[in-house]
Amino acid sequence: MNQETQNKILYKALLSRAVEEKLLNLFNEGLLSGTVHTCIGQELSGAVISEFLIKNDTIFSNHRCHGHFLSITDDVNGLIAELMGKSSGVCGGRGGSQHLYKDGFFSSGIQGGFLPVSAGLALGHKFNQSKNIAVAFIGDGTLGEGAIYEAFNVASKWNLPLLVVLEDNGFSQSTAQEETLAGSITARAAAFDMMSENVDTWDWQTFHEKSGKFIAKVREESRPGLLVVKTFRLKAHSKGDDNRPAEFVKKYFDIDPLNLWIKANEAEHTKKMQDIDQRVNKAVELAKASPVGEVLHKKPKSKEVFTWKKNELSNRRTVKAINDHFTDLFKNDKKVIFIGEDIRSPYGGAFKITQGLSDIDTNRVFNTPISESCIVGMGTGLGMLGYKPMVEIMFGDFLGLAFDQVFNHASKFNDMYNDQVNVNLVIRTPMGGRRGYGPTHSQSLEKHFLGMPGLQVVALNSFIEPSDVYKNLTTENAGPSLVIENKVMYAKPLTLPKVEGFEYLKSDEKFPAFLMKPLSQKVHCTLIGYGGMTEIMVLAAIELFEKYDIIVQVLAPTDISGFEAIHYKDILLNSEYILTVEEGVGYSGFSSEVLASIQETLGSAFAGVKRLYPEYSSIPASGALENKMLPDVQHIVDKCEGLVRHGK
Amino acid sequence: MESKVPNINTNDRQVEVVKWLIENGGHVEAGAELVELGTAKAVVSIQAEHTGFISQKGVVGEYLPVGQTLVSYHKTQAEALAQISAAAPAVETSTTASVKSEGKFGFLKFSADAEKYISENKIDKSLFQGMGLVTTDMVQETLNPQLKSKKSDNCKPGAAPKKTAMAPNFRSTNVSGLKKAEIDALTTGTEGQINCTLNFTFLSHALRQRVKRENLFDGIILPIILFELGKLLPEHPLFTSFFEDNKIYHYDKVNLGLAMDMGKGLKVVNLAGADQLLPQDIYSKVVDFSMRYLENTLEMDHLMGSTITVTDLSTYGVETFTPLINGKQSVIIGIGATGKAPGAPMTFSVTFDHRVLSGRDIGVFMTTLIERLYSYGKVDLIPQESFLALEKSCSRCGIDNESYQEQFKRFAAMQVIMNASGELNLLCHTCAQGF
Repeated sequence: MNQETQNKILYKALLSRAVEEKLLNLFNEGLLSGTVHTCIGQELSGAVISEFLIKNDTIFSNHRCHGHFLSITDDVNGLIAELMGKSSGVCGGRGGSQHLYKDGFFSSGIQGGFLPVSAGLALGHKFNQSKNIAVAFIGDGTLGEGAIYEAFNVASKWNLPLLVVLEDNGFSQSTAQEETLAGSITARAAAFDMMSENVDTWDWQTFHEKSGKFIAKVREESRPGLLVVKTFRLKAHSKGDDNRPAEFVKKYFDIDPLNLWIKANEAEHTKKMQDIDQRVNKAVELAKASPVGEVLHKKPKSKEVFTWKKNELSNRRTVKAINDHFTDLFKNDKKVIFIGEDIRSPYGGAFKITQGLSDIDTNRVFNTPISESCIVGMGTGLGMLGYKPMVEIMFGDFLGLAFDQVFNHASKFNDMYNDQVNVNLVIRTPMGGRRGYGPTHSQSLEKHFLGMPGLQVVALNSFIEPSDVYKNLTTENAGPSLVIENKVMYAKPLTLPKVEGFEYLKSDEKFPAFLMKPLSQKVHCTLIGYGGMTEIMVLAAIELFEKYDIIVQVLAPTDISGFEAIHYKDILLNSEYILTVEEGVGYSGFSSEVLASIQETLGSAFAGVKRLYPEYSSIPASGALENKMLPDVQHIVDKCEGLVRHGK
Repeated sequence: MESKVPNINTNDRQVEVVKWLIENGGHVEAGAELVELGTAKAVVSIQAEHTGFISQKGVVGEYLPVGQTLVSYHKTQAEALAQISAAAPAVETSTTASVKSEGKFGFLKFSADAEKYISENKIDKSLFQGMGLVTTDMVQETLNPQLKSKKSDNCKPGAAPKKTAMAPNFRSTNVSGLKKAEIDALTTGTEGQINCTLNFTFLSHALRQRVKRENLFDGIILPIILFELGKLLPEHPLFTSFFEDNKIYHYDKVNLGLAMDMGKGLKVVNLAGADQLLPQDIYSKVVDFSMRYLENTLEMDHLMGSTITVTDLSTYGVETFTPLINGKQSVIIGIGATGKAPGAPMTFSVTFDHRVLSGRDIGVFMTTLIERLYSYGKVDLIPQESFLALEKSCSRCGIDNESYQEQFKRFAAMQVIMNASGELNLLCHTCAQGF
């Protein structure tokens, strides 16, 4: 290693240490909120690795990310202001210590969760045909997270340029590795046919030499690698939570490579520290002077009342209509990539939605392993690089396996990185029962995804052309979305019932709502629901008039994550009663939001409101039991009649 | 030539034939009174639009949809009679043919229940032409528009009105349409209410003296009372509200209804926007309404929309009484008087709906009203020298008394008020708004 390189590495490590020591002081002074995870003792890891990174590489770091950030970006001002929660911080104070972003550098506080995202970034680099790589810094404690193995598997299988740097400091927070880790670390990589290398921060010259070669292989050969860096954390995991014996830590303090270098090079150290201290102190002053930013509202409140126009449908089967739209999209936009289990031709997906796409361009349709977390994370990574991934989750029930990816990653990045990162991602999945698939293949779980700032949730229904909804999800910077497709609906044609007395309208909103409007001077009740319930509500409306002397209108929004009654004020106020209908669990569901919004916005304009939802129970497999449980036409008719006639 | 059933009241899609004033086949001059039609609110005389022999298109007691032919005019009596006899056996058919569709949907479809109800009750389907989807409750509401306003109970579809068995020994006579309208209004007013009447005495002598001395309003004090009432009401919104379905509905206007009965039946005229009217406006309106009452030229607009009612029986020797609240109101104020008693005592009998207001509310309100009325008389209590010492102009707008009297003549009423620091000041009636 030449002197210049050595100086650079030392400067980065000393800077990291000085900044973190300052951060500890600021914390003690009460000027930082949250906590600080320092890498004091481990600085050389970031200082060395950063030597081998090039422009447009993407780096994901973890909760202990300050050293990585400084070695890669050299942005002392942005880091200190961020931790002090000020608007001049790299994320405007919205991300804080564990959630930094700058020029392709990201960090996140979810252990292992960003490995699938990094795999997606690596796939994106591969698509770009650049020499860029994705880097992920994890710790030895993260070896307990399943998501990383899903990512190892895919990265190795698809030869993705993913460098995983594992900083092995022997402890997960306070727990020693011996208590929690089975087997060997490098054997894990070997099992996935991933190359690996062992280095340490004490002999950092060798670390530099070996990692240079290792990273070059990852870059040049486009294949994943696990670089295990033995190191030691001299300070507590976070703040004041160190229960390791003092003499044990002291031993490492004495052999700490930076401490040894300082001892041997006092004059040079003093010289280097003059510049570093000055930078750090200036950064603190700048951060103190910077104002606190604003809390941004993801969905700006609008009082607009939507207008309605005639709705027309194509009479195609729903599966065909979605497939036709995807085929056009796929042909015309090379950024569109389909990812999912069993989605390539000839199988074309469990519900045949992606049929034929891989025949058009085999490189942009991926059959994945059964790894829902990984495929959603990969979609996220691809989306961050400007691709438009369409991720299929075979059954909505499996979203549970990807929940963390949706909730802590895809939907959060735009916010926590202060609007500097856009995630284009469409996750689509069939939901709902009535097919006898039983308790884990029949649920309507979308309510768990409502109320996630940053995530658009839409539900297709049989009376809105799928393209009307999908076209707005794949525009530039559309952000992450979850599309609920009711599985019963796929086979049905998109047709409006030919019954005299009703007209069929759609709203002019971004994701159009469907309205079945009675041609009558009076509306007794409005039925509100979405997705698969829509057709059942329409049939109930017809029956309620003909046999029960009751006139109802049906309102079915497709945008189910942003229902606001004010937008539908005019049509809601037409009716005397409101009945919401939901196939998912009623408690804390969509209907509750609808009725709350109606009450808040329109007050007590109605003679009565009710919710109809299934019994509080898992969905039975027996077809007969399932029919008993899920709201059908007769359930709606009975509930509506009770409400309108008897107020109950 | 023919006349159609006029749209007298926008809420009534049908009107009742109360009385034909020209017999079937008889001759009428254009402009002469032809028929009395009853709406939910009142009975209105309709004048002939043309001259000729008439054939009537509805019998007394029949409800005719607005827009339907009411009468045809013929050149000869023979023509008229021919028309009458031709129409007689097929009244329904001709009715059907002339129904004007009020619906906007261009089609008509009954629910199964509505179809059944129509057939059982022999209702003419063409009444509903163009109404689109129609359920039983809509049929009932179309036939009886008053049902429409009752949101909770009666409008539930299929809730047919309960039939009451007729007691066997009674003989019945028809109630006049006029009386019917009165009954409707008062029935709605008393339905379900918890009513209570409170009485307040007001010694009107000083006010009367003042009005007389200053030659105001032909010596009557009612305009002043109504003026002060109108000014006070906006501060007490519950007085212009009503109770229904466990809710209180507030009117957005102070429309003082004034009950009148000068021998042609009880009518309630509407002093719309009474909170904005000056005493002389009220006086002119009352005079105008009285003339119209006597000349039968009151129009629907004059009779509809009041949000609180005053009924004055003081000139009929009534001392106190219990006035009945009108439909969709919560307060009525009755005015009585005790003949020649010293101080000319008057009684305000206030009936109110306890579901909306309490005795205290009424007490506070009436005490204020009466205090204000007394203030008109106070000028008499002021020693002459003090009065002369007053600045002779309105203390608020500054108009001097001379030009004020010149401008408003007999409607001028300069009041003496006591300001916050205890000094006496003059206040013209215009500035007295918000007194």
